[in-house]
Amino acid sequence: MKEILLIVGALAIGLLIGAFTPLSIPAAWSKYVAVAILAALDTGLGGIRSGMENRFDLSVFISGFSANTLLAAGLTFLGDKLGIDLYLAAIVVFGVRIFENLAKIRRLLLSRFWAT
Amino acid sequence: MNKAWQLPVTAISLTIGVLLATQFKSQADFAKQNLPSRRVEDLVLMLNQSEKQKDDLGKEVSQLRARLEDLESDRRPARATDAAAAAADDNRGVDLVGPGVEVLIKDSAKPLAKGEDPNIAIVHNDDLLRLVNELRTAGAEAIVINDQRMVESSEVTCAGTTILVNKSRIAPPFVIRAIGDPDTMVNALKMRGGIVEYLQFYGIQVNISKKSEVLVPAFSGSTLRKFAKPAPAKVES
Repeated sequence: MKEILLIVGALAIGLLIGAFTPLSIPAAWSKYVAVAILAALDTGLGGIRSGMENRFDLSVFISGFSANTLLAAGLTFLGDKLGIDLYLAAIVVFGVRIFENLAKIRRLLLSRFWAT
Repeated sequence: MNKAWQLPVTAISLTIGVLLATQFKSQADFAKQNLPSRRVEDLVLMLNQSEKQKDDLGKEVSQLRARLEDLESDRRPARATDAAAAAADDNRGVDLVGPGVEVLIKDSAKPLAKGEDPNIAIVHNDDLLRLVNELRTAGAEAIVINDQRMVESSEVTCAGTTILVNKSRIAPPFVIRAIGDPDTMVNALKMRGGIVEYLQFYGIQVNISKKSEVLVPAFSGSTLRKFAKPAPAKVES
């Protein structure tokens, strides 16, 4: 339970930092940030899942995050240049993965608390 | 249980938090800057209502002005200073008649060739401005575009897809009427390399006709001056 508190707490602190610092994102960059948010969500949930499955690997975690983010940013950039909303591809893939990870986490939690 | 995953995941969730909050803030700012599109219809309605109101008030102004003129002429017939003031004011408050020209300007009727800019086929505010300028050069004494009398405060400006004169929208076909020497004005317009030749090169339809009598209606806008006042009669130099 403690780890979940830690994660939720970090999320809240991050939200506060973001809300009270004068950071702002130019309109042209908002697509990239949206993709980055999804990449980070996907990575975070993937990390929780692998941690619960006891097969967390820091190098996989970090390399996955950087590679996914870079690929998504690259797709978005290419889409901008071609006039196609290619970033939607990244968003769909991240969305699907987020759901998959959530489903796995849900099952793991269920099996932990209601062991059959 | 292996706890190695907690720190990286915590760091990631911190990042997510910062990014989310910043993105929310920025999106809210954009929403404030951009007018929601569904409100455009409301604005059009409001604009139409205000324009109607303005037209009604303009009619009232010209009626009141005519009454004022009647009363003043009853009270002090032919006062010299009034006449001078009115002349200095281009007689903007009264309808004027006299010989002159009528210029009809219409957008190009030629079908556009592939890849041609449709902008060149329509009448722009600077086309009208150049015509007015040319007429004034040729000695026009009073000019009206559609129903808008050109006075010293008159603008001819581009507002999106329409042209504004005296802050009122005017729509094609444009009719410019000018009182003055008809021959001089027609010659000035039709001069080789002149404005009509230029417009016709782009397919704009220009019809010029001499008239023995042209009516230039009174200026219907406000003549109040906020800043300019008559200078003292005698200035030492």
